[in-house]
Amino acid sequence: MAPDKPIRVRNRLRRKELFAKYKDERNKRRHEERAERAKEELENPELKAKRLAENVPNTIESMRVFDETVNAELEGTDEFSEYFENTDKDPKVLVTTSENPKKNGLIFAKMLQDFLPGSVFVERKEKYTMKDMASYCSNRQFSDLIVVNEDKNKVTGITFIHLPTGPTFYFSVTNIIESKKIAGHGNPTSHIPELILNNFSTRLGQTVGRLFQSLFPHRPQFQGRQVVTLHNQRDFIFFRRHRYKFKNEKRVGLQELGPQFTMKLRRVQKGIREEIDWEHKPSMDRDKKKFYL
Amino acid sequence: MKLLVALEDTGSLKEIECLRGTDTSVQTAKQPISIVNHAVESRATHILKFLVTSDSKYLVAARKGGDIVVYERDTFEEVKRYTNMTANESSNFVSLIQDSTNLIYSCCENGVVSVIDLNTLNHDDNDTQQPTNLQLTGPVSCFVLNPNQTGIFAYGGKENEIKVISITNGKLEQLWESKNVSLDHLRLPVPVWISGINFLNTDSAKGQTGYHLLAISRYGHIRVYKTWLKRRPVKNFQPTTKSLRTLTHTSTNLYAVCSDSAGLVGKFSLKDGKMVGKYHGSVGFVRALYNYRHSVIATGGLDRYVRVYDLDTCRILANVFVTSQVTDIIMLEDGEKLMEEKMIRKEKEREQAVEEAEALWEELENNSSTRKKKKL
Repeated sequence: MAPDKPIRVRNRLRRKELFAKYKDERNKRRHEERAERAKEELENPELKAKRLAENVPNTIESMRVFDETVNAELEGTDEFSEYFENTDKDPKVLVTTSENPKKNGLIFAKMLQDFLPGSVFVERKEKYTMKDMASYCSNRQFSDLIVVNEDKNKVTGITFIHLPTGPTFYFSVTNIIESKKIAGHGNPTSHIPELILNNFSTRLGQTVGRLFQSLFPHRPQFQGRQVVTLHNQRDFIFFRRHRYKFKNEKRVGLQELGPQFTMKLRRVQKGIREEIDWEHKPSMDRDKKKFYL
Repeated sequence: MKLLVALEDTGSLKEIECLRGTDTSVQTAKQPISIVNHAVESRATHILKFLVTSDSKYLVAARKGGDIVVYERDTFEEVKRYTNMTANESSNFVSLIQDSTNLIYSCCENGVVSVIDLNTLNHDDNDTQQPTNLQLTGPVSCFVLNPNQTGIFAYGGKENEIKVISITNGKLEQLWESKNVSLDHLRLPVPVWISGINFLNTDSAKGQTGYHLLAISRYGHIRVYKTWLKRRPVKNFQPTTKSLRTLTHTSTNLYAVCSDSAGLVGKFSLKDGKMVGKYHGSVGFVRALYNYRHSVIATGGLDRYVRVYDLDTCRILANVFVTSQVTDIIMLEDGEKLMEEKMIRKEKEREQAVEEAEALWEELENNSSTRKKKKL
């Protein structure tokens, strides 16, 4: 912050010196004020609560454009209702890749298979389209089909098809970090993980949340202490996997297991890739405070 | 305005009352007066098509699974349920129509047409209440009634050309069938999948003795047929490659309003096939389009919003979130009183603007006179 009175000294070095002095004084004054305030607030904690209540900083999330669908109650049933009603039946997921997969596509498909309990990887054959695969999977009682999309040896997207009647979701995928590249990572076990879904609040977000929920079995194995987190922030979905460790009665530590990747919803289609339910358009990014999930 | 909306997730009907300018997406805007749920069933038996009878006594709903249910319009109490009307469960209803003689026609994808006589609805004799069944050439994607002629229908579907038929006393007769357009530049037949047909007005004084048809296809074609001229379309446009699904037209027969499978609702000129207007707002596929007296259109679809637009100006009049995906929509009223109020308000504003302009001119004149004096 500039001084109240501009420093009108023509010598540049002298002017700089004076400005440094001014800054130093200002910092000292601020520190003193803060120390004094801390002292007052220690004696009277109400003052601190009042100050914090008054000075809430604005964030993009807090300035979010009003959306009437946020936390709206789900009316009736949707395509995922069977999973939530029939809690004895665990999901059965088939993972495959796009045609002619390269190394990275196969590695990513293996990663997905690793953290999705009850999933099977099947090599993609060129002669089968997505609709063919969906019908074969439905006939074999699979509940979901996941297709990893890869372009020039780089994983670019994932398609989730909920079987037998859809819907179909397409997410773009970025920032994939394998487990072995995460410093201090742990090794996962085959226990069914717990699932944390954060901030899927709009009606569309709830549908996406229900999709992820329907990929995991109903009853996690708590002895494995593994947690899969899907955190939505500004329509980017961050995937993380951790193991928690009870250090003592009060403290809990986290060990990351990996992998890490970020997804962004691009398209939701009714049925098996039929009519568009929702599609991301570049114009949707124009308003930085409008979120869809 | 008053709207009735059929919902997929709840299998129910919602009655919405709102004013022009209602927008649930904006906190400060007008909110709907009431949204009431009726005739609740399950998602497995949700309403695919419905209509309100011309005397406003009954509401007839064609449900998934093959049931046609007649409700009292005011109380939504079930009066009669006809079961297994689609012949097989996988076939869905594509159309539900009432003609001027109180007959209800339902049509399924497999071409089964059932005719229900509403006049015999209250008779105790069960035999008279049994609907008459007719078989069209399937598969059928659309089945419409000619609003100007009783008993004349048109239908079409996947690899099924447009056929104009007459149904009289339970007997079906084919009157006309369209012919596919010429082969394309690769000498291959152009695929056919008729998804919507509208009967346009004809002028018999000009020798227009047949039917004037407007049709859309799932391959993005908009076609105009004049049956008295030829079997092929007289106009053929392909403004989009996406599948066109719903169709209506303006009162002047100059524009077609269509929605595609990717959420576009557009107004297309029938002169050159170009899009001349866009009804903004919808994100997902618009499954239902209702033309209310050629003045406003109501839309509903997968994005769970009901939107009402001015047909001519494409301006949005109402936007209401209905919590579930919409399968069909009917607009019952469009608050004419509100329109009058609006007109009065507009006139007042115009008068005010004229007064202000006059005052401004006077002021300018005064100012200019003073300036002249200064110059002198």
